[in-house]
Amino acid sequence: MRFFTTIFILVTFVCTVAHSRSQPTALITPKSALVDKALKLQLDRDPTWLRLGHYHKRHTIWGGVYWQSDEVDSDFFVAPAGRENPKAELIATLRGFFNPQKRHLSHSRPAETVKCEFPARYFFLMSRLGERPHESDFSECADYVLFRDRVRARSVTVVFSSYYMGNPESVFGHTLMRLNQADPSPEHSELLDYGVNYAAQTTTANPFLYAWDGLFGGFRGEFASMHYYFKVREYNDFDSRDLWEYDLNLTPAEVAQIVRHVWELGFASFRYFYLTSNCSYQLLTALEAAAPRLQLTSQLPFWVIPADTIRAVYNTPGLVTKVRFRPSLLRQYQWRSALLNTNERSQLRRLTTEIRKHERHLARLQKYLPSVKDPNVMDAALDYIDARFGKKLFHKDATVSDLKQEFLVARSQLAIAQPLPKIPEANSAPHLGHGTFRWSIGRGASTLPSTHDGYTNLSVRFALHSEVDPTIGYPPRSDVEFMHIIGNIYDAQPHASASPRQNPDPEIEEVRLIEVQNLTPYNTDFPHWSWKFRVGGEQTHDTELCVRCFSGVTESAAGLTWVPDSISGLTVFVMFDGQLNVGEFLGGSASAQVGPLMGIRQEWSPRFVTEFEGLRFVELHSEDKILGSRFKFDTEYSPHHNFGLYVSGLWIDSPTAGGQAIEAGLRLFR
Amino acid sequence: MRKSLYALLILGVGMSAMAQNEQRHHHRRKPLEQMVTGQGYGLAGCGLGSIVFGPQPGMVQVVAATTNGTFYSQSFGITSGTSNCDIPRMGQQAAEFIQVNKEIVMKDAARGNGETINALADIFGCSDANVLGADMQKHFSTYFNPKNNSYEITRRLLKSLKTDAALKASCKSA
Repeated sequence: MRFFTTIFILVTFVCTVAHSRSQPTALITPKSALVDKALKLQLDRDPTWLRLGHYHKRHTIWGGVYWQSDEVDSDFFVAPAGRENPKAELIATLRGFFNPQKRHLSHSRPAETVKCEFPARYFFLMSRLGERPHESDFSECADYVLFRDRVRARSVTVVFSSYYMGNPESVFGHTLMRLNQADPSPEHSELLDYGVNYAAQTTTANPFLYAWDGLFGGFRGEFASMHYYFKVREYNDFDSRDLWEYDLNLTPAEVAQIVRHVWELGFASFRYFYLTSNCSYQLLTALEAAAPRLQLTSQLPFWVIPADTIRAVYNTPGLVTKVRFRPSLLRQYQWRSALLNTNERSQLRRLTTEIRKHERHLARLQKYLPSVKDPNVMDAALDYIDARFGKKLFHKDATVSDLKQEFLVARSQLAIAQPLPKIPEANSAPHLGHGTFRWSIGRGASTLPSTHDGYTNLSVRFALHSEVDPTIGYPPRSDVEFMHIIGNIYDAQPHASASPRQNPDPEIEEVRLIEVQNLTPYNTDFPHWSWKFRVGGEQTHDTELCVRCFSGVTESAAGLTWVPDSISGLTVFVMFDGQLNVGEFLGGSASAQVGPLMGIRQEWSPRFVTEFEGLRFVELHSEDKILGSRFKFDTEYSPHHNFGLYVSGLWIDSPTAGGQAIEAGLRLFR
Repeated sequence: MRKSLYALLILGVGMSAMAQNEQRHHHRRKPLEQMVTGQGYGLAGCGLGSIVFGPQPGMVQVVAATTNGTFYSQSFGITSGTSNCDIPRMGQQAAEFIQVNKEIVMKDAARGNGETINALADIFGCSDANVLGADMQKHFSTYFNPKNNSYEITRRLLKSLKTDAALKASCKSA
C-alpha cells in the first residue's frame, strides 16, 4: 500500500514540476555542433573536467600513461568506458544533457536525466562553451532543486574533528565540510546547516579484515550530507572531541558549484584507503573540482593525514577567513567548573559525588537538590551528568534519565543562565601543529651487546606525534605514531681485529608499525584507564637468545595516570606492561617480559618536553626467571615548530642483556 | 611448556585488549545518525518525513542522511493517514531536531538559553531566542514531561507559539 502511495506521490510531484517548468534557454551554438566545439577547445583535457570526473594520470608498467577515475560506481559515468576515457565521457555527457530520458541507476537511487545527475559538469561545460548556464536550467530536476534549496549554501566551512583514541579510525582525526546557509554570524544557527561527510562503508567487524580492507582499499567510500547537528552531537557530545572550524573565502559562483558537485558525488563511490584516499583527501578533491583555482592535494605527501589537509587549506593565501573552536562537552564541563569560586566548587564536588552514588542514594539527592540555589553550580553539574553518562543517556538508561530529570526540573526553577564565556583555546588548533611526517638524524654511542661503539642514527616517521614533540596543535599528552622506522649505521672499526665490523654497518633497529599511548588522567570525576599499545619489530640484545636478531614485537600496557594540579606540566603514570617477541631464532616460540612500568613526563613548555620511563620486568621464557630493568628517556626542545633537538637514552640491566646507549640529534617535521 | 603457557597468556592479554578496543569500535563505527535510525527506514507519513515510528512502540527512528538514495523519503510535504500529520512542516523539522539533540535541548531549556534554543528559534522563525528560552524554562515540566516524545514536545511548543502573547509576537505562526 505504502509503495503505491509512494508511486502516486512521485508521479503527482514530477508532473506538477513538469508543468511548471520554464522553457529551456535557447542555445547559442547548435546542439549538434557543441561536441565539436568542446573537442576543438580540448575540454576533455581541461584540468577542471578531469577534476570533476576525479581522473588521475596513471602509468602502466610498460611506461605508458593513461587516465583513470578514482570513482568506481558506474552511475558516475555516462559513457560505458567513461572511467578510463575522459574524452568519451565528455562526448556522452554533452549529448546526454539534451536527452530527456532518465537513466536507471543502481543502489535503489531514483532515475535521473544526465543533466539532473551532473549539474556541476553541466555548468562547467556550458560556461566554457559560451552558453551562459543558469540555475533555472535545472528547473525540471526536482530532486536536485530540492537538495539545493534545502542546503541554501552561501559559504563553506571545513571542520576538523579532533583526535579520538577510543576508535582506530579516528586516532588521526577527521574532517568534514559544512555548507553554511548564511554568512556565519553569532545569531546564525549553524546547527541547522548541512554537513558533507565522506566515510568508508565498512562491512566487517573482524579487526584483521578491517585493518586489511581499510589499508588496501577493500571498503567503498561514499559521500553523505546531513544536518550539522548530527555531527556535533556525534563528535562534540558523544565522543567528547573538540571541533575546529575553518571558514573559507570562496566566491558565490564557487559555492554554488560546490553544492552542484556534492550533489553529483551522491551518485559516486570510491575505493577507500585509510592512509591515502581517505575522508580528508576526498574532501579536498571535491573542493578542488568545484573551485579549480585551488591547489590543495598537490601540497600533500603521499600519505594523507587529516591535520595535514587542514594545514594545506590554512596555508593557501587568503583562503581561510576565520578559525573557530567548538568545545566538546567535556571541555564545557571543565570550563564551567574552572569559572566557579571556592565555595561554589565545593558545592559542585558534593553534587558530583552524589551523582556518582545516585543508584543507591537517589532519595538523599532529591532531598539535597532543592538546597542548591546557585545556577552556575547546577549548570556545571548538568554538564557533568552529560559528560559522564552520555552513553547511558543515549541508550535511555532509566536511572540516569531519572537522575537528570531531577536536576533539570530543579535547574528550571533557578535564574536564566548567562551565556558561557568563550573558552580561551588556542593551543590545540590543528593548523598550528608541526607537520606529521618526521625524520631525524643523530649521533649516538652504545654499550649494548655487540654494539660497543658509536653510530649514526637515521629515522623516519610517517605520522603523527610523539609524547615529546611540540605539543601545540595536538591534544595534551598524546602519542600516536605510525610507521616509525629507526635505523642505525654503526661505525667501522678497522683497528679492532676482533670486531666483526670492518665497514660501516647499517641496521634497522626498530620498526613501529603503530604505537598509541593514551594518558588520560584518572580522577574521581572521570575514572579513566590509561593504556599503551605497540606493534612492530625490533632488534634483540639478549645474549642468551640472540644478539642482534630482528623479532616481531607487540607491547600492551594498562594503568593509571596522575596529573597533579600543584606542579605545572607534570604527568605521572603507572602501568602493568607486557611485551611479546616472536622470531625465528626463538625456535618457533616466543619470548615474553612482564612487569610494572612507571613514567614521568614533564612539559617544561609546549616546545620542551622530557619523558622518563622505567620498567622492572621478569623474562618469562627463561627457566630461571631472569629479572631485569629497563630505563629510557627522551627529551626534545623545538626552537621552531618544524624542527627540534633531542637527547635520548636507554639503560638496560639484566643478566643476559645489559648496557647503555645515548644519542642526540635533530628532528625535522614536514 | 611453561614458556609457551606464558607466551599464550601475554598473547591473550594483547588480543583481548585489541578485541575490547574492537568491540567498542564496532559499536562506535556506526555513525550516530544510523544508530538513531535503527534498522531500516521508509517513507515518512508527514512533512519532512524525518521521523518514522519503528516496529516497537515508543521507538523513534530518525532518517538524516540526504544522500541521493534516501532523499526521496524526506522530500514530500504530504498528508496521509499516518499519525503526527497535524504537525506542519516547521514542526516536523523541530521534532527531528529535538529527537536528535534531546539531551542538550532539555539542558538548554532548563537553563533558559543555549545554542539548541537558538536553533529552535530559527526553525520557528522567532526573532528573539530569549523569549522562547524563557518560555521553555518556565514551562519546563510541561514540555519535557518524561512521558513526552519529540512529537508531543513539539506539539506543545507549537501550541504555545499560538497562545502565548510574547511568543506570538516574537515568532511566526506555525
